[in-house]
Order: sequence, then C-alpha cells, then structure tokens
Amino acid sequence: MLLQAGWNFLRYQSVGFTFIMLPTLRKIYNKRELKNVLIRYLENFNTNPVMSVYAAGALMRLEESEVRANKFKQSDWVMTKTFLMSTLASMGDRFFWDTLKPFAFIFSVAAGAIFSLDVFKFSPSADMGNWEVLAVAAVYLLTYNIPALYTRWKGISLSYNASADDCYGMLAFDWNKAIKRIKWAGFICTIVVACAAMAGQFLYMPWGEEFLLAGGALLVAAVSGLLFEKANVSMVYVYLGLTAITFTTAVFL
Amino acid sequence: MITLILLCLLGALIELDDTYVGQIAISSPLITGIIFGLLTGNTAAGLQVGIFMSLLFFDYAPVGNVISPNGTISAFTAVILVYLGMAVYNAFFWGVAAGMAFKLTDSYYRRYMGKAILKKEKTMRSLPERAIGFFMLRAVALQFIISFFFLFTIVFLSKMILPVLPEMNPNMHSAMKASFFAAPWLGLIMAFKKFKPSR
Repeated sequence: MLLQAGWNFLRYQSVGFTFIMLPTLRKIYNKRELKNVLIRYLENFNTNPVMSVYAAGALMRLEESEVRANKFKQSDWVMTKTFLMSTLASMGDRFFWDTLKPFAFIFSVAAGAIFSLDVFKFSPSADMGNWEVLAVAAVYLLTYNIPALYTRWKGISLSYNASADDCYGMLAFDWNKAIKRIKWAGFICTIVVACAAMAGQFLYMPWGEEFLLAGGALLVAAVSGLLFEKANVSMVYVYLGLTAITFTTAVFL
Repeated sequence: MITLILLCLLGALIELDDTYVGQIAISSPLITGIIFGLLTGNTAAGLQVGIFMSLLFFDYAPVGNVISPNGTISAFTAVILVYLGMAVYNAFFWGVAAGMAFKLTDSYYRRYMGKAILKKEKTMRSLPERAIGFFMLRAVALQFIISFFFLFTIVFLSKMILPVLPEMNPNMHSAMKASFFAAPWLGLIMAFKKFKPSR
C-alpha cells in the first residue's frame, strides 16, 4: 500500500520497496550489514504496484537462502530484481491498469444503466436515490479491489515458495486467459453502456434544441474520435479542441 | 467557507490514493464524483460528472513514469463548481482543465522529489533506516499539502470570480452543452478499442 509513497523521477519506487523489505532484512542481517543492504535496495525500482508483492516475496527468499548458504552474489540479486521488475510491470500493467480497472468501471456503469440510472440523460432525475448511486460505487470498488487485494495478499507467499523455474509463482494464475475473458465481458458491458447512452440522449429527450445538439455531438465525436484515435491523440485533447472550436464559433455567431 | 475547506481537505486526502498511498481506486473520477456529489447534496451531478470524466480519461493508464491528467482533481473541481452554482456542462470543462493543470504540478513535484533524494543521499547512506521512513512521510505530507492548496485555490478563485462573471449568451451555453454531450462518446470509442476482442 505504501510502495509508491516517495515516488520520484530519479529512483521511482525504490524508497517504498526498501520500506516493504525492511522487516525481513532486519531479521536476516545484523545492524552493520543492514546499512549496506539498504543502500543496495535504494537503487532504482519500478514495477506495477499490485504485482510488486511477487518481487518482494522472491527477493526475501533469495536473500534468506543465499545468506544462509553463505553464497550471496550481488549479480544474481540484480538479475533477479531486473527480471522481476520488467515481467511484473508488463503483466501487472496489462492486467490491472489496462484491463481490470477499466472493466470495473464499465461493468459498474452497465449494471447501473440496467437498473435504470439515467445518467446519460442531459438532466438526470434529481431524485436519484443515494443508495442506487452508492451501489454503483460499491460494484466498482469490489470488482477492482477483490482481485487486486487478493493478489497483494497471496502473491507474496506464492513467490516466496516458488522457484525461478516456476517464474516465481506468476504461473499459478493464467493472466492472459483472464485478460481475454475480461475483455470479452468488457466489450459486452460497453455495448450496454453505449445503448444506455443512446437511449438517455435520444429516446427520452423531447425533440428540440438539445436533441439536435446531442445528435450533432454524437456525429462530431464519432468522426473526430475515430480519426484521432488512429493518430493516438488522447480523447481529452479532442474534447478540449472540440470545446474550443464550438465556443469560438458561438462567440462569433 | 469552512465547509469548502473541509471538502478540499477530504479531496486532498482522497487524491493521495491516486499514487502515494493505497491505490484502491477510491481516487478514480467515478468514486470522487459520487463522494462529493453526496456531500454537496447533488448526487445526480456527482454521478454524471464521475461517469463522463472516467470515460473521457479512459485511454490513460499510469504505466511506467507516465503522469496522467488527474481524475480526482477533475471530478472534485467539476462537482464543487456545480455546488457553487455553475451549470454542469461548464463545470465539466473547468474540471478537465484543472486535471490537466494538476498534471503539470505533479510532474514538477516528482522531479523535485528526485532532486530531494539526491540531496538526502548522504543521510540515506549513513542512517538509511531512519531516512527511509522520514522521506516517505515527507513525500506523502507534501503531496497532501500541494493537493490541498491546489484545490483550495480553485475553490477560492471560483467563489470570488463566479458571481462577477458576465452572463454567457445562449449560443455559448449551447456550445458548451454540445462538447459536454460529445465527451461520453469520445470515451466510449476508447472503451470499444480497449475491449475489442482479439483472436
């Protein structure tokens, strides 16, 4: 939880990771040795924060076993740490940041839309129940946090008990299969949300200025979104650009 | 004003979850929008801002050393501006702008922390155990203070400027409404791209 406290552009998560390793290192080394070990840990460290527990477990095991056997090699330690950092970052960023978190959001909104939360109406009903809204928040938080917290809790013992041949416990779970399944579920939820947005903006809106505005906005968003998405331009910039163009036009009209 | 200060303190506390403490998703625009919507008595606006903001920021992921526009700051600003009397479509725009501005602040702060770690190198080498705890505490406290002052400045300026702003003409309102309507569709395009099933 505190891995990223002290995150900076020079050493990234190294301070937080050293803090996580500190209780174990205290047990392995005496006070004089500990100082040098901590300096070694304060070098660069950067990976996915959820998956970082795998690095902690594997490095705890490495320190313990090699120090006990009196054959600690710094090159082995650096190699293991570098391997873990890049592998965990690649897997964790793909799974947690790029798949699970967006899915949790789209799933909670789709669930909300199914249970008739009219958020896509231009003026959503003012009497929207607080419990309904809190339920959307709860669905989002639980969908993301149950797998994330379970990984944080279980990952450390998995990697501690696994060897390099088992990829430090990372193979205990089929991440790629899970990503594929979640993406399918996300795709279906996106269709539900798009239908809810369509219904909210057009079906329940009386014919008039706002109906036309919504139609125009959909058309412009679709064309510019698809165009700029291919050029890898962020949608935030597309939105700001659209606002600037429409507002400037309105000023001169 | 005390209510607004308390809201800013809570906003700064929630913002810590974005990077520094936790990462349990309570700092996402959806949850921030809902929390402040409930607190300011406008649940509908809070939820709508949260969903639209999350959709607009859909293509950002905090991978490597990338700093995304801050969704917490964006959602907070938009909901508070609605609370102060601004129309939701205008508030949404200023929320996005605030999130972009905070991205710059955050990037300066992280560069500063990088320099700070270099300055503390000597202490870190002589007393690493104590220096690590102190460095982390300082980093979290500084981030909290920066976020609080950022949010407070926005709230304070809004409270001062909003009553004296000239009234926008109907065309301007329509322009802001149109781009607000476009925001969820832009996000949904990214959602379809992200979840497009691969073979």
